[in-house]
Amino acid sequence: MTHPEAAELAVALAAGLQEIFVGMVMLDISALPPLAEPPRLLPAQLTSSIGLGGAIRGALALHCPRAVALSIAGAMLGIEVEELDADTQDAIGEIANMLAGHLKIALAAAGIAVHLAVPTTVTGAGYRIGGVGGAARLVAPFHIAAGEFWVELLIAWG
Amino acid sequence: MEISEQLAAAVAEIFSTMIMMDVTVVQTAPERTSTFTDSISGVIGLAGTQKGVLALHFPVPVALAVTSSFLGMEVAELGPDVEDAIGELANMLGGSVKTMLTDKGRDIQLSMPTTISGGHYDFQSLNDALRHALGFHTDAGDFLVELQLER
Repeated sequence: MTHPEAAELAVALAAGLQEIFVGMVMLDISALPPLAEPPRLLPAQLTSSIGLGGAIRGALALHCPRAVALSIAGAMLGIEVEELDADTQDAIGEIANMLAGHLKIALAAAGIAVHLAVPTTVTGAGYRIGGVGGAARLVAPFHIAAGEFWVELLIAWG
Repeated sequence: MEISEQLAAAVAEIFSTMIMMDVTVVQTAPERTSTFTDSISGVIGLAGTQKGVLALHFPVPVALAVTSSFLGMEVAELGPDVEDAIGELANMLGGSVKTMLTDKGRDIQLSMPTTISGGHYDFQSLNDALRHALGFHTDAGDFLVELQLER
């Protein structure tokens, strides 16, 4: 199976996130180049992940430092958010879900049928999310006023 | 058979045939917990006609014992070997769950297994889900298996 290159997927993810931020979050966002050598551990306090199944097997994760998660959730909900609570988790989970939807469409355009699982959320500090050996790993940083956050895509091509 | 019973049978079979460890069910409805300390969780998503998530939560010492037994060599610290073993365990059990939920597992796709590891983390999934959870005992300690299915 021929499949899109990491750079193409990074472009699709950046376009998807831009659209979500303009339409739903209403915060300015800029995409930074994908990390050439992503660290084992990203300094996040809230991660929303969603599994991808079908013609590929993968997972998409949004890794947010606390300040970024609070800023995004606050902007989405239109209220002051102070904790990484259920509201914040739902808001970031919803963005992960929508972004996975954009990725699904981008992959469908390349003839790759993908199905989405449900979002899960991890909170804490100093935790690591790992994939399986041999999976392709793309980590793309994004920037909003509250700071930087990361979109991670793990894929094993079928 | 109830899903919980099938899940218990599938875990016991995978452990006896692949990991070469005995496990027994110690809790059929463990108290809901989402906070884990010095642990590693293996997580796999279900997509397609039934969406959901399967998670296995191991304290690090139990994960090390499971990985050592699985690989047939002593594994003393949390690293890629343990992540791969716990991910593969989630994958195998995910395969069993797929078969339980549909005839021959058609129309359900499994995501890539991922792992979460750390000193202290909180794992949350669906707010409104059918939840099946089981606590298991091994000689090295206890672990938890949790299946959540979208209604």
